[in-house]
Amino acid sequence: MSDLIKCIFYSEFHNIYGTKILHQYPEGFVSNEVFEGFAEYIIPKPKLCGKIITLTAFDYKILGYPILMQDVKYHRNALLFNLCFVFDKSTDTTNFNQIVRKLGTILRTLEKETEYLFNQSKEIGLKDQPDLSKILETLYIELNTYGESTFTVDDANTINVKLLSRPEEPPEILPHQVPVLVEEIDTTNDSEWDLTVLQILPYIDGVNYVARISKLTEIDINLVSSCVQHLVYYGIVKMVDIFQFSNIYNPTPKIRKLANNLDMQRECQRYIAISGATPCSFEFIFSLYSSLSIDTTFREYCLENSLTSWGIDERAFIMFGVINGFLRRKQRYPLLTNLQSLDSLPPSHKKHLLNGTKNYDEICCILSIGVEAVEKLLFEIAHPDSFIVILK
Amino acid sequence: MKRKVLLMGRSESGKTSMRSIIFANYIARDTMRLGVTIDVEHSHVRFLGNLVLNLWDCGGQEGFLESYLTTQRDHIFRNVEVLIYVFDIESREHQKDIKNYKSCIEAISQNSKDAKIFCLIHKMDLVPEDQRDTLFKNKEQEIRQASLPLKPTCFRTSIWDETLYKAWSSIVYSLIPNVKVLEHNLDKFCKICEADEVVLFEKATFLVISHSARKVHKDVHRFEKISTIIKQFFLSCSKSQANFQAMEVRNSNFAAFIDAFTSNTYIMVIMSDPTIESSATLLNIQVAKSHFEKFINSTSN
Repeated sequence: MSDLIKCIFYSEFHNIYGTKILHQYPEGFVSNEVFEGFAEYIIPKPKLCGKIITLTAFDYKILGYPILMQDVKYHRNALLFNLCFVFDKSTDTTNFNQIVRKLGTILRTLEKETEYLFNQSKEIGLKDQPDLSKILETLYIELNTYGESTFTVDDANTINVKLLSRPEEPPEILPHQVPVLVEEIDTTNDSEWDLTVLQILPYIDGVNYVARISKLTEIDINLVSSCVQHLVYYGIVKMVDIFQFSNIYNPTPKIRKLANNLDMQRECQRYIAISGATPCSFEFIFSLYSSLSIDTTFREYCLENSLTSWGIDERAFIMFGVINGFLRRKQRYPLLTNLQSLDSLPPSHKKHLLNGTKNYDEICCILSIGVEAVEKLLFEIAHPDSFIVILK
Repeated sequence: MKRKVLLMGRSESGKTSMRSIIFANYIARDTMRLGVTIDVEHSHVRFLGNLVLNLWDCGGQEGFLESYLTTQRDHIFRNVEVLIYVFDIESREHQKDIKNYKSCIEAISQNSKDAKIFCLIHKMDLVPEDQRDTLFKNKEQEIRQASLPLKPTCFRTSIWDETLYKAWSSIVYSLIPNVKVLEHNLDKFCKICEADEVVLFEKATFLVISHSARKVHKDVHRFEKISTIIKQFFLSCSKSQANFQAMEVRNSNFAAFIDAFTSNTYIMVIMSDPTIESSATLLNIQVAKSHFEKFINSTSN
C-alpha cells in the first residue's frame, strides 16, 4: 500500500493567535504559510462543526472533522479542535471519512473523561497518557503500511482504526430476477442469523426468481427483495435472469478476461462439466462461448451444437458466463405501434405493459404466465393496435 | 437604508459582549457565557423603522486580523459608515494594540475615507475610580496621535454601568439622518407641553436618539443612566412575561412620563410644574404621536 496519507495534523483554536497546528507528522509538512491559506476551514464557524469537511487547497486534499466542545471550564467557554488527514489532490478519500470522524469522536470522549487534550496543550501528561504527536506518528505509519492501526491511550482505552472500503450500493432487486449464491454461507449457528434470510436461503437455487421465492415462502415480496439486496451488498449473492431455453445470450467484451485468466478457465471447465463426464478442453469451450454471437435462442443453439453430448451442462454453461459478466442476456421489449393510445388509459391498464420499457421476463412475472403464452396474451391486450418486439 | 458598522479590536476586548447587551437584550452577567467569535459575525439590526445597522463583529485573534488586512481587505473596509474600535484598558500589549489600530486606520482611510471613527476604551470598571480620568485622558491622547489625519471620538465604557449606553447612543445618533430636524420638532413639543425635558429613546435598545430641554440639569450622565435603568426594568418585565407599556413616576418635585411613542420609539417627558395635570401631559403625548410617526418614517427614508 503506497503512502496515501501524506500527513496527519492536529489543530486547535488558540485564544490569541487563532487557528494553529499543534502537532503534525511528518513534522513540518504543512508550513505556516500554507496553513494560513486554508486555516479558516479547519476551525470553521460553529455551525460547520461536527461535520466532515473535505477541502482541496494548493496540491492537497485535506480531510477533517472539526469539533466544538462547550464548557465553562474552557477559556471563552469552548474548546475547538480538528484532527486532519492530508492527501494528494487526486486521491479518492471517501473511505477515510469514517476514520477521521471516529478519531475526532475518540478525542472528544478522551477530553471529556480525562481532559486529555487540555493536558496535552499544557504539556503536563498524566504519566500513562501517550503524547499526541506519538499517536499521530503511529497512525501515519500503520495506516499507510497496513491499512489499520492500534494505539493505547491509557489502561482503560485501546483504540483500533481500520480502513474499510465500502461496497457499491446494490441496485434495486426486480421481482423477475434470480438470485444465485456465489459464496458459501454457513448457517449452522441459527441464532445468529436473520430469520428471513434463513427462510429464503433454501430457495436460492439459481432457478427461482424473487417473486417465486416470495410465493413459495409466503413472505412479503418487499421483505424478500430487501433480504436479497443485503446478500448482494455483501457479495454473497449475484442477480441473474430467469434461465429459459427461449433466451438469447451474447458474449460481452469481458470475455477477454476469460481468455487471459487461467484460474477462471480451470474453474469454468469444472463448473460446466456434467458430473461424471470428463471436462472438455478450454479452447473448445471458448469457441462455444464465442459462437453465441448470433440472435438465436439458446434452444436452437443447443440443438446445433449438442452441448450435452460433449459432457457440458447447458444451464451451468450459461450461468457461469452470466455470473462472471462475459455473457449477457438479450431481452425482448414489446413496443406498441400506436403509443398515443396509452395516454387516454388509466395507469393500471394492461396496455401500458407494451410501452417499450418492460421486457418479456418482467411481463411474464407481472401476468404470472409463461413465455410461451405471453405473446398470444399480448396480442389480445394490444388489440386493435399491433406491436413490434425490440431485441436489446 | 443600510449602514455598515465595523466592530473591531483585539481578542477578548469585549466587542461581542457589548453588542449582545445593546442589541440582543443580554444583561451584563450573561455575557460571560458567550463563546469566541470566529471570523466575522454579521447581524442586521433594525433601527427607527427603515434604518438597518449592518453590524460586522470581527473576531480579534491575530490570524483573523491578518486576514482582514490582507486577503479580505476590500471586503472588510469598503463602504463603511462607522468604525468602532475597542481598546481593552487592561491589555498588557500596548504597543501591539496601537500598531494594529494604526493598520486598521490605514485600511479605512484607503477604502472608506469618510467613515466616522469611534474608539471605546473599555473595561473601565477594572480601573480604580480615582485613576479613571487620568488613564482615559492619556489613552485618548495616544489614540488621537495614532489616528492622524483622521479624527476619532473616544469614549470610556464598561458593561457594568451607563457609560456603555452613552457611547452607543452617540454612535447611533451619528447614523440617524436628519437628526437635527428631529431635534427641532422635539424642541417645539417640549415648549408646547411646558415640560422640563423630553427624551426620545429607540424602542428595542433604549438608546437615546434625541432630547430637548427647557431647564438645565446638572447631571450630564442622566440619559445613559435612564437608558440603563429602563432597559433593566424592561428586561425584568419580559422575564415575568409582562409587557412594558408605560410608566408614570411622581414625587413632590417632578413627574416623569414614559410611554411608547412612535412604532420604534419611546418618549420620556419630565414635568416639574405642579399646576399641570398629568392627563394634560398624557393627552399632549397622544396627539404628538401621529405627527412624529409620520415625521420619523420620512426621516429614515
